[in-house]
Amino acid sequence: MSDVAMNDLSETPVRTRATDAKTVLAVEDLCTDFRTKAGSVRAVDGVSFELKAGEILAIVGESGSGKSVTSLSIMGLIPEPPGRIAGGRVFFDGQDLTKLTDRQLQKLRGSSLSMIFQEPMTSLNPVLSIGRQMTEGIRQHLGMSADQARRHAVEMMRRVSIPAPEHRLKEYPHQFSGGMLQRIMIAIAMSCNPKVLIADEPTTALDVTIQAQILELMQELRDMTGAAIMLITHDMGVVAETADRVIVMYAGQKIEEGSVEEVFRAPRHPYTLGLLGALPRLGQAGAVGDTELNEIPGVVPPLTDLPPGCRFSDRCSYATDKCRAETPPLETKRPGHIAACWHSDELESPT
Amino acid sequence: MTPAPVLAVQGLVKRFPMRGGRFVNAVNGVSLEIRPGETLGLVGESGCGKSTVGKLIMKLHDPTEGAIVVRGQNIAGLSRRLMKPVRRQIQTIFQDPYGSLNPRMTAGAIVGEPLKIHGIASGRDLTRRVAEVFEKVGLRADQMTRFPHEFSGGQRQRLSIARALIVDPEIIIADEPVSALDVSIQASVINLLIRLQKEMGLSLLFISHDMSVVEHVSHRVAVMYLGRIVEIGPRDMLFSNPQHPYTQALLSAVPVAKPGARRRERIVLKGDVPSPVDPPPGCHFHTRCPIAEDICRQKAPALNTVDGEHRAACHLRAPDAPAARSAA
Amino acid sequence: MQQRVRNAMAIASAAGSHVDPVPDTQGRWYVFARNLHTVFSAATANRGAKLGFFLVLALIVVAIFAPLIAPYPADQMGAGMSLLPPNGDYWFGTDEFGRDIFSRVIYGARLTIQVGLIAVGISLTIGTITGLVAGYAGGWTERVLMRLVDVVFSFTETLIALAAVAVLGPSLTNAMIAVGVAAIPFYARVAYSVTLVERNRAYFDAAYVAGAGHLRLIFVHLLPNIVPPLIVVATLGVSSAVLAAAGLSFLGLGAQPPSPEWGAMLSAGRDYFTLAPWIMIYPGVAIMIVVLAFNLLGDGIREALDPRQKS
Repeated sequence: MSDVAMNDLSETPVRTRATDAKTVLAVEDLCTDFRTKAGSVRAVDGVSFELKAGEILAIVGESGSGKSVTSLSIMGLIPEPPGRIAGGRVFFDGQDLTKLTDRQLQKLRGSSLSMIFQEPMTSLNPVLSIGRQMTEGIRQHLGMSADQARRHAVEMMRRVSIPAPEHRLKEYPHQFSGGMLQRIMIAIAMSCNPKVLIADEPTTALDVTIQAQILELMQELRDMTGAAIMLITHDMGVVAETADRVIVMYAGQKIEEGSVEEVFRAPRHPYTLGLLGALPRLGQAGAVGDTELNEIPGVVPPLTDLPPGCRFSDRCSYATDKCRAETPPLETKRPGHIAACWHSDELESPT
Repeated sequence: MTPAPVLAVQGLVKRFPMRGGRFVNAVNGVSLEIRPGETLGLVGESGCGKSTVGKLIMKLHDPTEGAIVVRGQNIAGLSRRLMKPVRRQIQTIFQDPYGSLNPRMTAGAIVGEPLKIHGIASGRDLTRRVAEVFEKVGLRADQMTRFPHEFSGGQRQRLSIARALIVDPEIIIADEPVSALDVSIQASVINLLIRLQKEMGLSLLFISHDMSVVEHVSHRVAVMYLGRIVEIGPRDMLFSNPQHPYTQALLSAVPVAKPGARRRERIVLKGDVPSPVDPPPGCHFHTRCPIAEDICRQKAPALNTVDGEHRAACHLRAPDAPAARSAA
Repeated sequence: MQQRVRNAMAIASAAGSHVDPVPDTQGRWYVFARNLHTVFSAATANRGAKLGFFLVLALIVVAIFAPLIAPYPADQMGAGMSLLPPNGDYWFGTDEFGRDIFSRVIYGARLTIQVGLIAVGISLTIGTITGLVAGYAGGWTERVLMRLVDVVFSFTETLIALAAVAVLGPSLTNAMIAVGVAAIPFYARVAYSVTLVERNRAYFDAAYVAGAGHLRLIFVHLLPNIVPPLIVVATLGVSSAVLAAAGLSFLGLGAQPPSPEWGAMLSAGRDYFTLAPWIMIYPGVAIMIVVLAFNLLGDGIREALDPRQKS
């Protein structure tokens, strides 16, 4: 099977078109702090990126990397206290979201800027019918009448392939499966024609066959509406198959960014390289015990006790004294591919 | 001839009673065996019954029907007292690295507990053995006095492994042992498991939903769907030449961390897994199967030989052909 | 959305909770000291809890050193003139027999502590065992025990206490027992529900499949894990027990004169309230402070033991 995997590189150039599209969301030097018993910690530390119309940008990282806090900061959903956006700007639709009042943000959320979460079950109110929850936002944001909103909701449900939508509108969340609920969450999120959809681990709670359905659906909707999607995930496989560009985060910082092809073919940060090597690859397993997976020694450092210099230095096999003393800047390593590492040139390609 | 299995499960059935006199058919006639020093991977999606199979073997539940044979002894009906010596042979690694360690016990006490329970060691001897096994799983002996919450997720899973290994078992049931861990940590735990298995000649039942992980660790693999095994066989055969449409769909749905490298056309299954309270008649998979025919709706397929030990329960892909059987 | 917000907070607290450069310490004393530290830091987690903690501490000190603190023996009649208002010699005034109310309130602290400890001791012990056994055993044992608890639960505690005292006869000891017995179902319910939760945790399964026997499962695994929530309940329970026993004494069913029990003092002061309100005010305030102290402490411990705040 492995030879099939190797040879059948059917290059479908779906990822090339977003390059000169309009920027819809720009995050500049975002910093988010949390107060903890052990003092204030910076969960997101100086993250900047742009999201272009019609592209799928993946933000990938392990737990504690700050990827979810980044998305919540953009949405203005950081609980305050203990959280606080300590600096930076988020440009969307010609305005800086960090300067908006809750009321103004509320207007944007769910209309031109919407979000779906990991647990569809807990994101919906169990005592309200699906129809009620779908039409609420539509009526509020699009100013439709009850009847129009209902018809729009039916149309949206049809679009996410829920059978018998007129009938199912009357049902309650517990009558749906997890995959169906995530479809409904997507339908709700897409119902007011958002420019940006933030999907925070949308398939992590779902089975792999259902995950395939949902990812396919998200790509279809992107193609249909031209919305930009920010996909937060920990799964490199999902990134490779779904996204156009990828940002890798580690301990609150962006450490690498580039097109998915570039980053997977030749990662310029040892952490990214390590993550790719740690993954068992379908169809590439040798005899059991012959090949070891790549281990990244140690654990992600606690935000209260970060090593000086490069935050990955104490786990990195390439690290030198320079890494332990000076923080590497984000530099362009190849066109459209940036990384923060002093030793990018020494990295080998992933196997 | 293949060596005698250390564990064999025959016709295992588990029905959980529900209100209103109905049943959840969690496991519906599962037979499998694990041979000495071998890892059997048990894969399937949530609700397929793979974890229940594990729990039945651990005797956390009593099976409704069927036999569980450990070294020639059927343990399905054994009392708690008679089960105790068997428990030493079968150890368990649980999924949740946070929940499976008693938060009020020190790491050393947790790992040493099986020795106490089985009266194998006490006092200084116990401490020495605990220290040894700590080292074996990559922990430091001075960490014995710490409490579970002072360890990271990966270290906790190492504690779980240490607890399982300390009584020198023959069989380890590992129920999703790495699915709660981050990728980089997951890799080190998988490497450790494989290494220890080789060293100690353990037999492993590795229950997981992750096809890539199962492929990496298993010698043989069984795929479950709605309480039944739909395909079983040596790993390489099953992964390179899957016969059951469900296995094919499952494999094709796994996202591959290589942009543009789709192995084959992704088979996106329609709909959801039917309820195990009311499984469809005939082949359980026919409601979602892209190739189902009339016979699939009427008759449940048996596990038929595909090639040698590779067997699949499909009327259309692995028909019960005597020719194929004699050839093998 | 709520869920996400909580997740975000969890991320933040997890980020802060990694700090454990634990000194390289060994052995049982280390474990003991750490547990002690946990309890102490729990007890003084926030300002309210700290106040409660020191009030309770003060109560204990007062009770222990009552003979040293009180200027007169508790029931020395004619220590002063009768019904003297508070003044420099008799800080809380005197009662109709000329007893010093300050001294009586000080000695009363001893009785209050006794009441609290014994009553809560009874209900905590029996309640915990009942709930734990019911939750652990399941099946018929569970059904019978918990139905029984439900039946008792359906009477109000005061009614049960009244009935018990009516049978046993009025005395402070009987009042303590009555209050303790009346609260058993409550503790049993709490113990039962936390046992069910802990029983379904994976560590319990892990011990079970390792072959642990009943006693080990109950005493090594379940009990230590259900104790923290029960401590909270018991701390809060002290205040209701004190209140209930004072109530019984007030009704004449508990402590009998001349006992300086606060409830009994209230009762005795009723007739003179218009003439000498201090007879009732000071024991009343004392009861209030004790109840408040234990409530604050209990709330503080609960907050400190909240799993969401723990790593």
